[in-house]
Amino acid sequence: MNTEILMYVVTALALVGRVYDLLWLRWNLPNAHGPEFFMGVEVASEFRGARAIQWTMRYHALILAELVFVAAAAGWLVVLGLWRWLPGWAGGAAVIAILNIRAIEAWVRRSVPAAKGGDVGPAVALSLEVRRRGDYLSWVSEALLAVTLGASWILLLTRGADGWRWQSPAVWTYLAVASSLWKVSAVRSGVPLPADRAEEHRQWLNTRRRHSVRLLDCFSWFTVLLVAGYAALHSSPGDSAAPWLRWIMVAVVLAVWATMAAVTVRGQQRLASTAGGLRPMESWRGLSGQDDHHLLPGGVWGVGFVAGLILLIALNFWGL
Amino acid sequence: MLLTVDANDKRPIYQQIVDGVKALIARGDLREGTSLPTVRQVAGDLRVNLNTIAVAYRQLQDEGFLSVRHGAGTVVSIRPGRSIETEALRKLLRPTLTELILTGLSDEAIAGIVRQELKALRMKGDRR
Repeated sequence: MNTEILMYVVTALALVGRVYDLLWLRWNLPNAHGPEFFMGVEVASEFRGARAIQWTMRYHALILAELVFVAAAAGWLVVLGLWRWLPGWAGGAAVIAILNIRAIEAWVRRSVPAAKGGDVGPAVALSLEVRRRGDYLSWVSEALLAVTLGASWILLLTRGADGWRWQSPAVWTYLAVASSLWKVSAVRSGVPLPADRAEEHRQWLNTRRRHSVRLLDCFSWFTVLLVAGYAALHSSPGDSAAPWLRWIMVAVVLAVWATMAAVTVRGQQRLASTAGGLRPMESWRGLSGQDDHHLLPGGVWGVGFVAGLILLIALNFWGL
Repeated sequence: MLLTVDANDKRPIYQQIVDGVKALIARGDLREGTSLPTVRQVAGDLRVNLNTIAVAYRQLQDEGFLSVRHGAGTVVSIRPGRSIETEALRKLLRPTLTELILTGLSDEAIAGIVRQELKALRMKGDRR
């Protein structure tokens, strides 16, 4: 087993995650809420039927094109034996997936005939429930994450072996810090609730919020343990960590990944069971009557995050 | 605890929030000492300006329905026997009664509506 084993494990896990994402979460996304909605947008009656089928086919073509592109890139790396670039490929594939789905959403909102929402905004419901960060986040877990991350970097910087490269731990650290900030944002952010069945919509939103925080929590640990594993494997002189240590690291990363997968599946099931008959969030209208308000918060931060990630992946890719 | 804000309502948003919180207190859904979310949270959830919510909270505070407690944030504070002059209460009723009279309802019908609303409020309040 060579020293880059963690990278291969991460790449393989990313691949499994992508297949699950594609088959279970994204493939049926446009029509998941019935014929009245397309990708969550409430559509006009003339859109249903043939036009909806046509748009669904376009959507599937775009998703398949993305998959072919990502798979071709992976094949190219494998054929040329560029194993070192695989983590960059995994990150790049995730960025492409996010950008692709956002672009499709924007295209749908721009081009699909939406149901008329009226000139004046509708009634919305407001929850007076206090959302404290401590009710959703575990400060002990956050502190442990920070300590583990800090200790790993201290270990790398003070006792790092000659062959260690900063790029991969930097990408994982970036993702860990970003996911922690994302958790806080997930707790703080809210949207106007539909006035009809307001309590059920509130409960669904709260379930979604808790699911997001749990998932991000797992992801934080996943990335932090990757940094810790990298530090442990590359901190001994001559880059000769004991084989058992590598296996332990792989086992720990796999366990966290399995937990993350279980949390994802269970969360999706819980959300689906809570959502019974409720309006998809993408169609919730604010006081202005617009249903795209959920796209605005964090927009600038999201762009900054993706730009930073692309930069780090590029640095990793070219070994700068 | 949910309150509704309607874009088609003639009242400004801050006034709808003030009235909504008062109604929740009157029904017993908001009890004394219950914490309310921060101005920032409410403004973010409704996607309105911070000042809109700050004005609503300030009015509720001025009227004695809310108070700011160190460490607990903004909490519901119901002062027993709130000292509102009888004339001030009559002033509050007048516009609504005027609207009802203008719809052509008889005095008995108006009194019936008022009794029904009172009964509904009291019934919710008794559930405490």
